Amino acid sequence: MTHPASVELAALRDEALRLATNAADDAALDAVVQAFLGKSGRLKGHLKRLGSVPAAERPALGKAVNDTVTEVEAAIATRRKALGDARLEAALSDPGFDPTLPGAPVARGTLHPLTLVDQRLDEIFRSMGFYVLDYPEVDSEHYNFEALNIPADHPARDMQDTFWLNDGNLLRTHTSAGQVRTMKAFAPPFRAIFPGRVFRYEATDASHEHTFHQVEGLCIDRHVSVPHLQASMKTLLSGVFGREVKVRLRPGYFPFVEPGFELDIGCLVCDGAGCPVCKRSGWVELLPCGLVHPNVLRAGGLDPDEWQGWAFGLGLSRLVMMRYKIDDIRHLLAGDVRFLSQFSGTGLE
Amino acid sequence: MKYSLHWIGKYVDLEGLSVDTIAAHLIRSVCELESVVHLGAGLSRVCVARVLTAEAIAGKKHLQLCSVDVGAGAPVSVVCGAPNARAGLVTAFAPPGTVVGGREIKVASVGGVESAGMLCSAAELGLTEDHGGILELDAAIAPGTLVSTFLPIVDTVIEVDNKSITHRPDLWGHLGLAREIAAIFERPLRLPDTDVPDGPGHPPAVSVDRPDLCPRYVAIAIAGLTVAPSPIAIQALLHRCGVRPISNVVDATNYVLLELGQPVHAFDARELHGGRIVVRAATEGERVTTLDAQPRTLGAGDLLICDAGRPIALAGVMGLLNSEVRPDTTEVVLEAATFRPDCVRRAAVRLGLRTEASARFEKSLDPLTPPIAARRFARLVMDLIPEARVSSRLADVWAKAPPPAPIRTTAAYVNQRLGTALAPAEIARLLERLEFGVVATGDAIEVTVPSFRATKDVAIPEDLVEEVGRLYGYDRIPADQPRAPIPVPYRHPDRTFHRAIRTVLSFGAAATEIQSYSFDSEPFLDRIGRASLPRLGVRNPISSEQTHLRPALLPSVLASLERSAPHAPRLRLYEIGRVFTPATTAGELPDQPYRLALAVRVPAEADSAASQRAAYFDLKGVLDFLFDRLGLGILVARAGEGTPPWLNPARSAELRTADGRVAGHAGALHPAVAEAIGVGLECAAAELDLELLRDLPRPEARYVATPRFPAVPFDLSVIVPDRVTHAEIELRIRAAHATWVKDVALTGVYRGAPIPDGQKSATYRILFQSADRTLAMEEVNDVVKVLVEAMSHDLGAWLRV
Repeated sequence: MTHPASVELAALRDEALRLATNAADDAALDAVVQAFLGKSGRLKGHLKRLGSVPAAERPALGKAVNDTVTEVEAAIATRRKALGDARLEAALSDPGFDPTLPGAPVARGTLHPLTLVDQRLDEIFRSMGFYVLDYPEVDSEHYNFEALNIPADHPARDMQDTFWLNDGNLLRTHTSAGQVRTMKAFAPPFRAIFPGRVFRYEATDASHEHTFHQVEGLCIDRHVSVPHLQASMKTLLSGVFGREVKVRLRPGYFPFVEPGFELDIGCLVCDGAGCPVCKRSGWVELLPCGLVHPNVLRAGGLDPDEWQGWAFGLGLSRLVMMRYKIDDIRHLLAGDVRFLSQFSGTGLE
Repeated sequence: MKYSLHWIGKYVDLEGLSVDTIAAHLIRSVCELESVVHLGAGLSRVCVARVLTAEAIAGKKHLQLCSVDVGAGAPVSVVCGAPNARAGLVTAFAPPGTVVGGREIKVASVGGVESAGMLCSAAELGLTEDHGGILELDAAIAPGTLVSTFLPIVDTVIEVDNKSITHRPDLWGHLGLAREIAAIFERPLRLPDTDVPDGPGHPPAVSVDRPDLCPRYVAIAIAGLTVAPSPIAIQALLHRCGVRPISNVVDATNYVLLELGQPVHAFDARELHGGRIVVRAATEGERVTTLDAQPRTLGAGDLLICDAGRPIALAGVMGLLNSEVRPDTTEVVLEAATFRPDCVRRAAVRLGLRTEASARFEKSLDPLTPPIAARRFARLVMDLIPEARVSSRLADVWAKAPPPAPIRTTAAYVNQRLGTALAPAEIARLLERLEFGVVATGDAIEVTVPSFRATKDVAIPEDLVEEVGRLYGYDRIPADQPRAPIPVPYRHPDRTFHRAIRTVLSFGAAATEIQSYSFDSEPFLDRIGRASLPRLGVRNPISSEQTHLRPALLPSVLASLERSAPHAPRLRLYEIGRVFTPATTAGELPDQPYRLALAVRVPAEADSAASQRAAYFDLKGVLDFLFDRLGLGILVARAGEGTPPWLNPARSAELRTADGRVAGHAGALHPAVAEAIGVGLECAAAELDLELLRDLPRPEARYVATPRFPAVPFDLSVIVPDRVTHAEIELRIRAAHATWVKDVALTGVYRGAPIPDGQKSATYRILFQSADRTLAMEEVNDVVKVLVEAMSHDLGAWLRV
């Protein structure tokens, strides 16, 4: 004999299993759980009917209800896993995905190429224990000439045609104008560079500008010799060019150094073998340098019997042009974004 | 300066030294070379030829067929177009295979006649510029003799970079460079012949009024002259050194100049009135006519050479027209002097008359040279003109200065500076090769500087270090790293600050950095208008476009905006640079602070007001970002007085520090400026004072515990008059409770009904949060109540409900 409650149970079981097995998504499964397995759900609710069942049949029916619950729960779990697997599988398949489409745009700014090289030099020289300093563009005749052992009417003033200002000052013709300022400001020993813009009263063309940039180097110590200068320049320039460079010194005349030199570096294009860039000599003239003249030390308040020094002047604009293969110096101060936006570096590379 | 190696060879034997070797050693030890040019490389086989016959070629107007004796074998037939080709002429013949003027001579048919070579002009042989006819040589020279044995047709011209010998007056003549070569290669130096007998007559009476400006004046008279062209060999040497041959007498003065580096000047003795020479200062405004026939007005500092009554030369610069050597001159008085360098230099610069003479005098010439130069001139003239003779004794007025004291140094010092280990005797030997007098006693070295090096270049031990170093060879000195003390780290305040700004703007705000001239651009200011700022003028501007230093940085970025806008609808530009304001106290440097200028352009909106606002707020976004990243407390207020004229005053702001100082201005571009530079209204610009910003206190980042209690949001809508700014409202909200108000965000602004005209409704979401408990709504309400009362009182605000 079959109690009507058992018949109903079988129908409930069939319905629950069908709904669970066919559930389209997790939400449908959740609905099945709620409808059948909740405290007042239709399956659990079926237990309330045990009271109307003869006592002898109650254990069997009770067990049947529990078995059905277990069976439905298993079906739901199976379905839930199947749905999860299907979702994962779908997420791992995207035949139309094109990884090469453009990324979302991030606006891009740039530093001026002069800044890039300035910052690179700043990095290198500071890592080697140099102060990096900055001095006024308008300076006095004293700091630009007289303190550098270039008195008025000295023929060496011809080397640097000067912009004179109505107040009697001048636009500095070289960053060397900072040498004596540095000696006065810092207690020796020290090493320093000071980059900046300099001005010459001369006509402008692709390789000449009346405004350009230099970086001056100055080292003051107790004993400074030509070999120190030579070794320091070799190390510093190897840092600047990012590779080992050869250097050689030739006599050169600059009133604020004695002895004074023109420094050549081994041609970076042909490694000294000879090429058009170095006019087949294997050497390229790079910068003037020398041991600081005692008159300059005196002007800086230093006793030449106690302190000695070396100094160099490097053409920063020229370095920028070499580094980026810029063929016309006039681009640098023209303020055209089509030129400026080409330099995407950070200054630290 | 240009030097002929052939000429140098007169003073030092160059046998066995290649040009490359000489050039390399000069570069290594002496000076910089501009160029090394070989002359007459293909002319070594050019020989002397005698024209036997010269016959016109029928139908060829200018050509003659010449039969020439070239010293060997049968006569050679040569076609020649020179007007002076004639029988009996001894000239130069280039056989086939020689290279003349870059062209190889071949046996060829000229005008239908075979020509087996070429008769050459002086120009074709590189001797002078004379190409009016073929060379006319001394008839006594045997045909077949190689021309290169008696004329300098094969030579090398070395051009030295003048800058590299500015300090070396001794190198401004061939003898000086020969001396260096002699020292380098340890060969003897042969001095030029100055052996002349003194003349019988009284020397010219010389009086020097200003011995301070003319330390030495030597004069000598030479008579029996016949003015004529110089021999071709002398003309050739002058020509290749860049001096035009004129006549034997004038050429001899230039020869001495190029040989000894000592300028000398010959006056026609007939024009030396009163037989006197007076050296005196010019009077202000005195007028003279120089040799180049130009009238010149002199200054009081200039020095004149005069005769008994009138000026005859501008000392050290140029002779005057009235006393120059003329074709009929038979006697000259020769001047050889030294003048004070700065006096000559000033006169030459002021008159724009830089001559071969002034270039040398301004470099401090050797006081021992003038009598040598005078006698050398006499010797040359006597060699050129057989009848010439010295007709006076030598006049010599010399304010003799004591010779400089010997320089005392030690071998140890020289070695320390050079990084060498030279014995005192080795150092002495190197210096002696350069004609220094050396006494070495133990380690001590006492050096007497030769007079020709003592005027300027060598005076102190450091100078001797250079002499030893350059002759020993810097390339033989091994490099040596200095000991490296650990320096105190130093960060330059401007550089550090500017680097931070650049990083934030270029890499955070995607702006493009520009750099521009420190000068204002006058044409640009003509178009965009000028600010009434004091400017510092340039005394010698390079052009009428750049006459003043910039007092403001905004025009620089606006110029870049103009240049760049056609290529970019969206732009953010900035520049960090100095501006210049004249000093208020004479003798001080001008104020030259760093500024930051920015300019932006955004895509245009539907109407101009919207465009201007969009541009302004793009700019302000950049500024807010910058101030936030740098930790700068900058307050923005409505524009007041002092807004730069290039900004729209209705859409501008003043940027202030917490203590009320103006740090800069920002605003939408003035419509007139936008029109002038051809951009739309969708642009904005700002200029900030970086010295002020640099020195503002910047809070250090500090850890604050992450909140443990929830924040209570509160939405507040207030109605305020239109003139009340967001900044004013926000300031009061933040002040309502210093610790609880964590964030204030403007969520909306509304104008229109039912809000009365001239007012606006602004809604803020305020987050209240306490670090030690969950705030009760009542506590927040109490704070807001007080806040609304304060805003009502200060701003005329009322709560919108």
